[in-house]
Amino acid sequence: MPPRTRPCAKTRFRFAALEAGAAGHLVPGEAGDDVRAVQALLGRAGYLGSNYVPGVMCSSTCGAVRDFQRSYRLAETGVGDEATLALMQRPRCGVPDVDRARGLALAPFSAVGCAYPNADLTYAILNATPDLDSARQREILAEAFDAWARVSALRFREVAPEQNPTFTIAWQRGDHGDGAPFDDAGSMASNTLAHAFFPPPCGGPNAGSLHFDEFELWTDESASNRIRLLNVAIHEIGHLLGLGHSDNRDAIMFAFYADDVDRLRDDDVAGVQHLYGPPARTAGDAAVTPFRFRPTADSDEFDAFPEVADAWHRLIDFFFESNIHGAPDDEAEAAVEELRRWGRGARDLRFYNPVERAVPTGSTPANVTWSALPTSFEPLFHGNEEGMFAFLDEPQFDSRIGRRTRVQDEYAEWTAMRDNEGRIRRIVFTSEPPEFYRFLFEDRLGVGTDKTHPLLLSLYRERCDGADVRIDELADPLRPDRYDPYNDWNNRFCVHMQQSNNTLGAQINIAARSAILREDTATGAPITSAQALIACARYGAAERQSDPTIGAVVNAQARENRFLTLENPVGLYMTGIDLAGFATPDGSDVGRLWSVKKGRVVPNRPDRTMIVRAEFAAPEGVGFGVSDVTIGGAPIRFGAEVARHVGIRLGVLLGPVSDVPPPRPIGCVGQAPRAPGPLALLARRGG
Amino acid sequence: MARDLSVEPVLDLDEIQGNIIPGFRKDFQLFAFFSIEKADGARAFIRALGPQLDSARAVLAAHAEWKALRGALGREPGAAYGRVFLNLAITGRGLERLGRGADLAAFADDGLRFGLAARSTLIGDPADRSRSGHRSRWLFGSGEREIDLLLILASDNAARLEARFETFAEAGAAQGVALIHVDRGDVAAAPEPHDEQFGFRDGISQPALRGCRSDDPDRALEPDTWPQGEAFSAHRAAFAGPGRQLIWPGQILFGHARQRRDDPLRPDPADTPTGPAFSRNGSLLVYRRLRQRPDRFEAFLARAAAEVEAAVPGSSMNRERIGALLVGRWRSGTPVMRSPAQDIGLSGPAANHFRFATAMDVALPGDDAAPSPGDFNGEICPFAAHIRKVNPRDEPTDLGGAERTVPKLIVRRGITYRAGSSPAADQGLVFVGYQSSIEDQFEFLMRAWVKDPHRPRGGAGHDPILSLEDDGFVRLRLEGRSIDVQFRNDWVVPTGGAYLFAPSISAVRDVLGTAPSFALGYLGKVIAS
Repeated sequence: MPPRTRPCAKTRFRFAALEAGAAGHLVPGEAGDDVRAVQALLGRAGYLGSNYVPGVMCSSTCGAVRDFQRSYRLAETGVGDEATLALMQRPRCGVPDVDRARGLALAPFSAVGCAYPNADLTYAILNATPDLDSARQREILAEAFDAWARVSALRFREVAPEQNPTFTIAWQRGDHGDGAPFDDAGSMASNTLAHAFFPPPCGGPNAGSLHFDEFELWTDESASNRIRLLNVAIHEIGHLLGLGHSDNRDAIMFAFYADDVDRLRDDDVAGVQHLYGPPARTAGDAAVTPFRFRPTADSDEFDAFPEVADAWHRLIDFFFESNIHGAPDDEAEAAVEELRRWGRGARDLRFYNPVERAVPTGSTPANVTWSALPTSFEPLFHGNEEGMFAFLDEPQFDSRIGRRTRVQDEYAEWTAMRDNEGRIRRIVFTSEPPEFYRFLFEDRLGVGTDKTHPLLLSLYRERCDGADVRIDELADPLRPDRYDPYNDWNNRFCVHMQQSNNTLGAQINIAARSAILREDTATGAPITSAQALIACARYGAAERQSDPTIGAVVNAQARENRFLTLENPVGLYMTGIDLAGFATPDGSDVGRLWSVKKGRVVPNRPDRTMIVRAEFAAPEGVGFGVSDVTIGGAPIRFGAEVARHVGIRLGVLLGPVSDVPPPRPIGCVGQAPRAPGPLALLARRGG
Repeated sequence: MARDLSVEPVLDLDEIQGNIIPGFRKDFQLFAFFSIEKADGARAFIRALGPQLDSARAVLAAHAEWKALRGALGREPGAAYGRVFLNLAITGRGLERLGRGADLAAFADDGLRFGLAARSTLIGDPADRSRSGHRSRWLFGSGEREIDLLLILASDNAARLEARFETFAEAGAAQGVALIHVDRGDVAAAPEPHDEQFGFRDGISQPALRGCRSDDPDRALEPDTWPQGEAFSAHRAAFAGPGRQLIWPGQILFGHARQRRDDPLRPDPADTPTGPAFSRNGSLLVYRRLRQRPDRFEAFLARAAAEVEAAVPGSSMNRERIGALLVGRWRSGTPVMRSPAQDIGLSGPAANHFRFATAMDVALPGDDAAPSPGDFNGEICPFAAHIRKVNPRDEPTDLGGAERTVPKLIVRRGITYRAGSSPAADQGLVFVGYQSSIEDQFEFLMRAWVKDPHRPRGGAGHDPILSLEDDGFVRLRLEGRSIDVQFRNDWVVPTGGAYLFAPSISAVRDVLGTAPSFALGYLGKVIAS
């Protein structure tokens, strides 16, 4: 077949039956090109043998249609109905779904039964497509191999073609001599994007070859009528490694192409780990137990509820996923989503989800620290400290949410409870994120409210001096199925954080997005300072102490090519209170006034302490109250004066300097060559 | 970017006391602390001092005179230049004793209102009475020996300094102003002049006050001392010279604007220090008498070096190197950031031309030492090194970006002292620092950074020079490993001090030197003007 002039989109096969005004289906007895196409597809995909009447429904063709429908969890009508035809005509991989000789069938994950015996594999790139910059192609292929290496014991290295590579990668057109020709126009084969051959002996003489169809228009971005190389490359490498097609539509090993499926899902991971094992674990971590996110502060609240503990793990995993890769219905701007708008990808991010990627050997814990007393409002008060403290101590009306809420914005909140004379009885501090309580109330992960609501109520009652809190009092007044973090009990008793940015999701989003390297696109100069970074990347709130500090520390590690993630259990932890300068009226030990209500205290190790709830109050019967305690000679008038001495930390795990190619910087939010999706914009406006 | 002098204020140099700016910088300084026993007598005493106080303009002129004399003589004039400077400051209790309790309450600063002794444990002094350094053991500034007034005298001629002091002491005694304590500073009190007692060159890094001497825009108080050339242009707007961060006058002086939040290049006219009307052009003074024990410090260095060498064999740790890591400078003043392995004797601007977090982008002419590299994770210069703790320069802190460190800076006018000549003699440093908020500047640095092991950076440790914590440690990073050097500081011991207000010269004359009823007249005048 003569080569066509490029660029020119392929003429893909389309069923006439699906055209406007047509029947929308193929029934027994029908004949024609559509039927021939169905038979061609079923034959190539392994459903249809040679014993059928060409061009006519049905006989053995209907049985093959039924098998196809079963594989793809469609209604098993046995005829060419609309859903079936619509799926069949989507672009797909050229590798069969079914291979009776090898027992291959569609399953959550399937393996052909052939795998490479060693874990160190090499590949060579034989040619390039003119559609993409050749260096970029090389990077995309490296990223695709890395996707598999991250979750398995496998390691990949690019070598020259003469160095006897395990895999060869080439762009081919038409009949290229492997018995599976590509086609550029009209036939069902025109819907084939690429194919790859299984490991020997399953793959036969072509084992280890990966062919992309040069007739396609390849791209590294999302664009209609172009195909994203990364998605197809990851998929085809799965075949090179011995994996068949998956019946999970979100999996990378699903046979049909989708623009937004560009990374491994659980069943892909399970498949490759089945063949090659999980990543090598760090020394001393011999037990190959799957990574689990532990309850905040290692609390024992879930001990009686294993399903709740499991759901919590999945929830935190979701926070990582949605802030790193982006999830279909999340509201946050995800790091990889942003990188893609600049033609970059996951390999340019040094923040990872420990579920997805093993913690690198030699990782060390480190802390970002700050004080619980906000500084955001200082410019409003111009040195009027008393006015600012009075403001900080009381909930304020927030027009964005139309409710009163605490405004303390350093990932810890407090309430100063006063007696009738206005004297402080006790100050309650919390750094518990609202997600935990929302999780228990809404039960989105299906644990069962018979388990989560009693736990929620017991926590509320304990925090609200034993009051008879009812579940309906915690519901959003307008949407009773939703949790209301501004409920009266929380407002009064400081049950958990409610300021709109004091969330675990925000914390993970800041860590993920600050791990992206930034540069001034006009000059190419790296952006490194804390305030310049947060102004550029718009994670968190620039006026806080915590957010720019977290961002600067994370970004500096990424610049040094270190992989990092958050400490497990993920949380926002108070480290304790520095009582130096505090004095009681009777000279007794002021340490008696501070009590930890939830969390874990490691003596003399504030860097490891995990406090999420604490109180500052005079013990019963001592004859004085908080307002009689002095700090540096000045009697305590506000909770804020005590909050100043409460420390907060965010724990991170810093990997060693990595030898992978360094991440590439991008410019600032709003300057990307491609616009963000509407949800991302919405989230940024809101937060 | 160029510095825009047109937005900087013209400073009232006739009003500002001269030790605030430009600083006395004399070989001998005498600090006399008094207690006010009789308010009327004290007012008369102060009134008489008023005309004798040396303003910023007078001290600037005297420095020029001294320079001219040095030029004429071809050497430092020494005692041949006999001018004696005089400044005054008053504590919160002093204001109350003069009947100025309402004025004291008008200050927002809890430091001035409650005094150093009441604040000492807040900034990390021992809470345990039995421990040296506890306020009950101070020579002055606490309990029965609280003070109200401080006179600062300075000269290159010690005899004339003492003679002048005698007249004030006698006048005070006659007017119900009792002398409580005297400290005598001497730049040569340490073995090497201009070193502090542990043998480290001191006073290298100072912020530079923005503002002009007159309305001629070329008359910056602190002119640009960068070398000429484009290469330095990125530094000129924020720094008067290498390491000399420009700060807005409101950071030191009442009645002036502080820095706009997160923008060191611009002032925030709405943010001025809070005080009574007469506080304009005044400043808050922190005085700390710090006794130093060089023998104990050297013993600590020897122990620490041995511990580190044992923990990391082959790290070639010795007293000199561990000392440099703990201070952040070698004894010559060479920053560890400029030379991690040895003392290369940098001096002048080169000794102050470095950063911590990011690499220095430009070299000074003739400065051949390697420029400071980026050290974000404290692997070259420990986070807890003294000079990094109290001024982290370009690195982000627990407050956020480095822009938020600038408003914490203070001007330092300290001097070494030595009482007697025996090896066991009391010797040390009198720390003198000016700022517009003791709470947000000196106390913040001591409370939040010096004594907190996890601020400004997590895992830092304590400042080994200033922290008196029982369980002190400094975390060193050597060859990829973390080593905590434990310490309990008994080599720097607070032995006295005070928080004071250094008023403008007119406020001394018209307010402190007069009875409060007259002050109302003064207020009326201010409001009318």
